[in-house]
Amino acid sequence: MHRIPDFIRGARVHFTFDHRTIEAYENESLASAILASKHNVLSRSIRYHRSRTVFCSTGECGWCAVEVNGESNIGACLRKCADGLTVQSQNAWPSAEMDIFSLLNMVRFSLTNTFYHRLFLYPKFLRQFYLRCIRLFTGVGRVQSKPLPQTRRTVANIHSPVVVIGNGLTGIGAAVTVAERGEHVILIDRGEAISKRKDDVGISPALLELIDKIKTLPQLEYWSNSNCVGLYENHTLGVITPDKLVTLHAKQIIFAVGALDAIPLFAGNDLPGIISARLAERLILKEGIAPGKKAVVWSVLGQSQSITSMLQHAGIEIVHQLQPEESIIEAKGGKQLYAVIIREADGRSRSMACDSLMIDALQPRNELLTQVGGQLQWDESTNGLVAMRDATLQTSVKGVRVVGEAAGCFMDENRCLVEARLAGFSALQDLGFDGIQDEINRLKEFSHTKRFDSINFPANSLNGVGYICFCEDVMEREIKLQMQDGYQSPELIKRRTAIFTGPCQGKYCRANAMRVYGVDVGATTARPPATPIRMKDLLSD
Amino acid sequence: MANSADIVIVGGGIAGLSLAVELKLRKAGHVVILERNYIGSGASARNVGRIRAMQLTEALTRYAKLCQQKYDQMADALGYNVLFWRAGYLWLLYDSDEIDRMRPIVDMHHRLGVRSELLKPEDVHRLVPQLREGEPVTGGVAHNRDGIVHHDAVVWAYYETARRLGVEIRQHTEVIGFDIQNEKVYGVQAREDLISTQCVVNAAGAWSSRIALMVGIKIPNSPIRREVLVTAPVKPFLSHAITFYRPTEGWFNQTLRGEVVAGVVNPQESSGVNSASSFNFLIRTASMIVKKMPALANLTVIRQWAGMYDVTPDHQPLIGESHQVRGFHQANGWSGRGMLLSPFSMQLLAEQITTGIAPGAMPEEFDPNRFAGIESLEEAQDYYQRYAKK
Repeated sequence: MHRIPDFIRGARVHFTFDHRTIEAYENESLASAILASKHNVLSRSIRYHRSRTVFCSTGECGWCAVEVNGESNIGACLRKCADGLTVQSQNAWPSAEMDIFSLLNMVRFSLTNTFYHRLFLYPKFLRQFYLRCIRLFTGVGRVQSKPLPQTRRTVANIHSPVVVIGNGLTGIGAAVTVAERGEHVILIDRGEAISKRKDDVGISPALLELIDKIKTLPQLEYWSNSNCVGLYENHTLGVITPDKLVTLHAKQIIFAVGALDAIPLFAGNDLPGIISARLAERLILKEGIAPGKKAVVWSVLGQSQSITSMLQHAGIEIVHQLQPEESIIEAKGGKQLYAVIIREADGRSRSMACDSLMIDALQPRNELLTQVGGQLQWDESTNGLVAMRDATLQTSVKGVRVVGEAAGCFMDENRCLVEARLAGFSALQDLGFDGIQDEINRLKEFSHTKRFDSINFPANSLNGVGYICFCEDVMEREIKLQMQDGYQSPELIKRRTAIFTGPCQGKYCRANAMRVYGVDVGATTARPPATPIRMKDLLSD
Repeated sequence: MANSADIVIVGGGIAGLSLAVELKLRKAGHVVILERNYIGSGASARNVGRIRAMQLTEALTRYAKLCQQKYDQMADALGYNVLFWRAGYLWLLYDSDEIDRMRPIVDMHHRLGVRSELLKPEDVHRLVPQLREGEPVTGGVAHNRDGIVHHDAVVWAYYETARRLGVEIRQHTEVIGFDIQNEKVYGVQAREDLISTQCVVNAAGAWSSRIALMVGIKIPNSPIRREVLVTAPVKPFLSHAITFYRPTEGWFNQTLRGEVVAGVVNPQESSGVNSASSFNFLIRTASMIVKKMPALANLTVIRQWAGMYDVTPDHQPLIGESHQVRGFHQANGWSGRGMLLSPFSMQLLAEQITTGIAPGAMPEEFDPNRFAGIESLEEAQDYYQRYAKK
């Protein structure tokens, strides 16, 4: 990564990374500042100590977890640079760049996830010693023993007829629809105050218009910086606000929580240099950082035009754009990607030198819905897992609706707006509002427009060495090995391989794992919290 | 798939699987396990695998010691490393009356050869330095030979051994009824299949009272939910498995994998099969354990789940043949100690089934017929709660 010339940056700051001083600017995230300063690696993966940098832009993929001022597992992609910070890589010794334990990566094929159940038994008197040694290799990040400043929050029970989660176009659209009819609605989002969203580069006019409407609607209560932890029994949501721990009782719930970047399955799909197109966009537009010099672009969604023009604008050479019938077989590299091998339309493979691979692929967020057993189905059009919904967008859980990108409605602003209004009106009707049936019928017709022809996610990788789970370093072949051993149920595969049990809790691996073990077998239940929460944010007074 | 069996076991958890293995080792003929979900899907997959010999009562301590020995030998017997780790066990005491109460218990442990120690506050802090910053303790009881086991590995070890020995394991097969004639078992109805057998074992954990009702036996077991939270794995920083009873019962420890698991019990928990999680649990647990050990504040919670205790009124399991229906055996009511008790108990039950004689090591308190005929039973009083009461 390097800085784009002529970009207006913030003030200059200095911090240390692995004891070396990094010069950076205030507007940059720790990850981009470190990677723009000739460091290739931010951290090491949990089992095989593979090089990790950044992939997504939401802080949830966990690739870029570092220790900041003694606090471990902080996403370096979101934390802004500040003067005097002490940043340390995790799971690496002596440094992320030169990690002695990366030798484990070379013997990874003999370290399948249950190998230790047949080993470390003899001589018998060494058993406890072996366990103590195994223990040293587990876990990422240290725990400091000095006490932290603690903020305690008030516990509250709040009732609201309608609650909307997510402040994107769809979420705001749904909340405004409800509030315009005079019903009270709470809109919850993890992000900053809504007014700040207006400064976003490239914000759509439709969203701007909705944001302006919010101010005129007293029935719309907006909770910013609030994290919806989970959907629990009896239509209650657990929400952490800056000063409260709220059990929120809602009659109608609308999830407009958006989508996550997806990582397709191919050999070497976890190499540094592979980043999501949405992160590339943020780096270029907001931080003035170019994520590479020579890029290959793979838009699984088929929208590569806007991405390539943005990359070219940042001075990045486009080596190749994958066509819909092409796919990637293998990415080659160690601490840095140096080539990708592409399967062309006619079946031949071709190697291409590059230092970055931009992946534009999305997967809906389902975790909140599935926490109470909401049914998902495999959607052919988006080739992924989406919520099962009826004509009024209601899921299998009564009174809970999922709309917009969270329901697989990607890159389609008009459709998202239709869904937002339909969900809002249907929620109102369920609450007993009259005179909106015509409106609902009209919107129902619109919501049936065709989506994608087919999105091509690979279901296997070369020799089965592509990674399914990035939190726990699980390759495709390990899942297949467990199935051969008689562990067929997804719950057993999960426990045997540790997929779905890392910090991302299966958000990034669920769809890929299902493509491997069979989409009809079903998924495992998701558990709260929807995102990792620090214990210090859960303290009540 | 044969439709007759010498022995049918209802429930493919740790109890059912270990019983099947023990039976096969004693040449018990054709053994079938019927599991309504996947193997270990109940409490066997949802527990934290604490294996402790220091119990609060004498009978239980004597028995738990034998159960722990079973774990010691498990790896050799099954050829499988179940990661039984003697991490050490520590009860934290926060009041002076707790120390008075613990003194005779520790003496009892010593009589039975369990080397627990009553610790002063400074000893507690030396053992687990992170407790220094927390709420002041008045003492503690530690036992270094107690520890934790990888509970899933125990299930897999028995599962793989059972398959190797020729046990027929039918997963995703629910039992819907029994063939009973003249107060004797003649068969098990598993969905559309009727399996004829004269010996059935009810090892269905939280579902065992439902199974017993199918043969017309009322057992007073009631399932009670216990919730757990799990943090992201971190490097080793906490060795002992910690339990405290004040102000309410709670516990935490770091697993071999580096995750910290923790839970604080809700004293008002109502009974019933319920494996849903709750937000209040997160708040209650985080607030209390951070008070005890402030260093935990920095850990991130990545998951919460709930498991089920199958609790009997006296917190002792039901093991053995029922008097009411011949051929129907109970192996349930573990009351939260199934992981510890069941492998050894199932060895004894297998002996009993194959020889027809109850082994001497089987405590009388586990008699499966002790509640027969008692109409009104006291509300299940929590063993720990009784202890914690001033």
